[in-house]
Amino acid sequence: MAVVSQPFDRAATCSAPAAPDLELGEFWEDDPWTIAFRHNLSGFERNRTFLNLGNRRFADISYLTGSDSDGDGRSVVAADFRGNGQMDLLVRQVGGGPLLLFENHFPMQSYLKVSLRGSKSNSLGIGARLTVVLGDRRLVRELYPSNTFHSQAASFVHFGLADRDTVDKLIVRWPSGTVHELTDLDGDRHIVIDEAGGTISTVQPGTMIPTGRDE
Amino acid sequence: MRGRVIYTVVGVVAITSCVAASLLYRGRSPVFDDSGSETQANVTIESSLYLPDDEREFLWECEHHGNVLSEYGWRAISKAIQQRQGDELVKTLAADFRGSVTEPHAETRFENDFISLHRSVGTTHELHRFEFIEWLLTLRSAFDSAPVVQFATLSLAPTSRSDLAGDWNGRCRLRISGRHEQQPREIVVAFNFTISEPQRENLDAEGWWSNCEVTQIDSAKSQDVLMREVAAERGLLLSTLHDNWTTTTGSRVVGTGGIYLCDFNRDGYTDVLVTEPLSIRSTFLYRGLPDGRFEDATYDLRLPTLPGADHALFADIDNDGWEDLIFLGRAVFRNDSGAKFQDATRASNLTQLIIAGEIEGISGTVVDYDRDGLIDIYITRADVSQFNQGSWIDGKSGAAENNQLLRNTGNGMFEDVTKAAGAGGGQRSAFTANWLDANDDGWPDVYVIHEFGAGALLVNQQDGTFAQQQVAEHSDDFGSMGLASGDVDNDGNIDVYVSNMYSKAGNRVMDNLSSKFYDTTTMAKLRRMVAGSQLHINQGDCKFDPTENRDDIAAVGWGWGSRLVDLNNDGWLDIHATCGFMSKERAKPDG
Repeated sequence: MAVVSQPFDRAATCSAPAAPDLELGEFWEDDPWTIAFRHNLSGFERNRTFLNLGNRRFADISYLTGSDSDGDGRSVVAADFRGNGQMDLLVRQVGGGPLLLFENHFPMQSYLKVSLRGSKSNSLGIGARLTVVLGDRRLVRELYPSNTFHSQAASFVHFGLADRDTVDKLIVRWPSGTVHELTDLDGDRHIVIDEAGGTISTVQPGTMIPTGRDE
Repeated sequence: MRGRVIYTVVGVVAITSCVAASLLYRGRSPVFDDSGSETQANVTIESSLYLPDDEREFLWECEHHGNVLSEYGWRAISKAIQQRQGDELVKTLAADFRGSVTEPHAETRFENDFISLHRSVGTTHELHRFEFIEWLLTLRSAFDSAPVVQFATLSLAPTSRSDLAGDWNGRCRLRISGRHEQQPREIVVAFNFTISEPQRENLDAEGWWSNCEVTQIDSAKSQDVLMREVAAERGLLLSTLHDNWTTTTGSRVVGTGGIYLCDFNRDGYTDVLVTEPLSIRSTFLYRGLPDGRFEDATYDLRLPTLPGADHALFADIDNDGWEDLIFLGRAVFRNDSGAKFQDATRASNLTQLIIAGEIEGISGTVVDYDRDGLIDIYITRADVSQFNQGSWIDGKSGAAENNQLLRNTGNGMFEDVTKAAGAGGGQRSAFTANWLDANDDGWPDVYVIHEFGAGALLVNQQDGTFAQQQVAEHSDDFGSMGLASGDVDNDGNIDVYVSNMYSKAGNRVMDNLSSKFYDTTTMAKLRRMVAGSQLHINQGDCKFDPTENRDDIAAVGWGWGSRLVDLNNDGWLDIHATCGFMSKERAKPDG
């Protein structure tokens, strides 16, 4: 009767050990692939948010964020959609609301957003390694618009600066190998760094960021 | 093409089945269905690996008793706590009930003006029946109106395997969530318990709960909800997107289209491409506007509707500073200065190269792996051709040339260098891959996850080739659907977070499975199948420590895409992880 795959043989079939209690909603499916279409299979699981407490410890703050949808989540991207330096989340689900946009209302802290303009390197500086020095803290981030699953991140790097509104040093290691060290930068803004010359400009949202190429 | 992908994902059902259900089945001699019969010749089965009937029946009895406990035991207690019905709780607890609880607020895990997180663990004091009920109601009193009260059984078994009618023991998690003066609060209590045999007659009678030992209490609160859902308010109302929960056609699917970010017009506001392969119109490109609003710019930009379009990638392939748009194996659009997308499919060989891989590319990522200044592309595939064959334990699947490294040679042209570069990344189904500089040598490396087994790290040899290694000797990821990377401990090395499958049912079954039937290695692999997501901490020089598998981040559920993102701007990368496979009916048993 019942057909189900085995740890050692995905195509093996065999019978159930007991009758299911139908009143309870128990079931045996004679085809394991149909479980998901007739019953719960990892159903109503809440998408989770874990706050990094430092020292490789995390705390589940899913409920406090309100982003703990129990729909069937599939992909998520994070970006600063409002241009205020706080990272929002856009979530895709196959059930329970297909597209959810969670705006960030954590207490505001300082930030620095960095875009790159490559010349010797590729145009967006993809693959660059950026290091922010804040007193005795060093934050290392890489510019890869990663996929993670059915999605793509945007091509900028976001640094949370906590209570520091300036950055002691920003080190950019470009894909080409060029290294720039920029000191004493104001935070709370989105900047573009040029590989040619290592100069910085502040992005004015709504105004085109020049490509640096011959337009 | 899409059908293949769906079936790939469905294939993972069997993983849960094999641990949470199929161990319950008898399997003295395998019987093959018609479609599989031709391919079974080279599958060897050790008959001794099958569980005896009585073991399968025991495992099923434990699961069945758990279902009974949830329906007729925990449900009534949840309601009594929610409604503050002390008299109902008195009926449940045995007259000689013995409880012990941890001291409240032993450790402050995080605290600022807005958020406070506390954990109590260890030190206990004894409580008698009425004291324990008072303690439970004290937890409840932290909330105003009726909070959500949920019990989750993490393990359950009779004290003696041969005496189902005797006492049963287990572990459980009680979660109470709700508001106090509009502020969100959550209390999570982990406890061990002893009860009478969870049969309906016993649970309907009085005094079935005899012991409760609370081992950990987590309490969390904040001044206000930390994130707010505003998709419709901001213009992202997409009624055309498929939703299994509301679909009128009744057809449920496993996968969705994607969500792809870019700044196609370089105005500093992030834009979003949403794809929906099930819709006649499959492309929705939203232009980001001030204040987080969006407007549909698809037609303005002359981007066609591309029915069935699914997996996409923004990549500046002509290196002009404007992100071009690729639909994997389908089309290439050149970004004309942010004003429009021009069909450049025929001007590039990219589509042909991806189609030549035969199986649909499921993920594309950008990199300049050879550091020549041009963006290259890596494609992963979820191959199901071997899907119903072989062993879940071995986890093999996928074709020899599953993934592709496509090197940009300029002028929109690419060459497939997978073989020469050694960049295939394992002959296994791979949902995605992440580029990172794992050894901080300035050359991009790539980590490829595998649907049915541990992933592979391809270390860039600085000469156009890669050396493949496992991220750790026994990383033991299984059921890997998603992958995020970032330096979570701020030590300067990029770590990886792998979204795997966690199953409460699977873990219960594994707890009850006698260790005498399978060897240690097999038992460990079976456990890993349901153990959940892992954070692999990079110790530098491509050495990763897989032991940082904290319970807190492992037990997410059936994990999919995730992001490492600093949500509170404190300089530490937080985690957002999506999960859930298919939901059908609340409060019913899960597969």
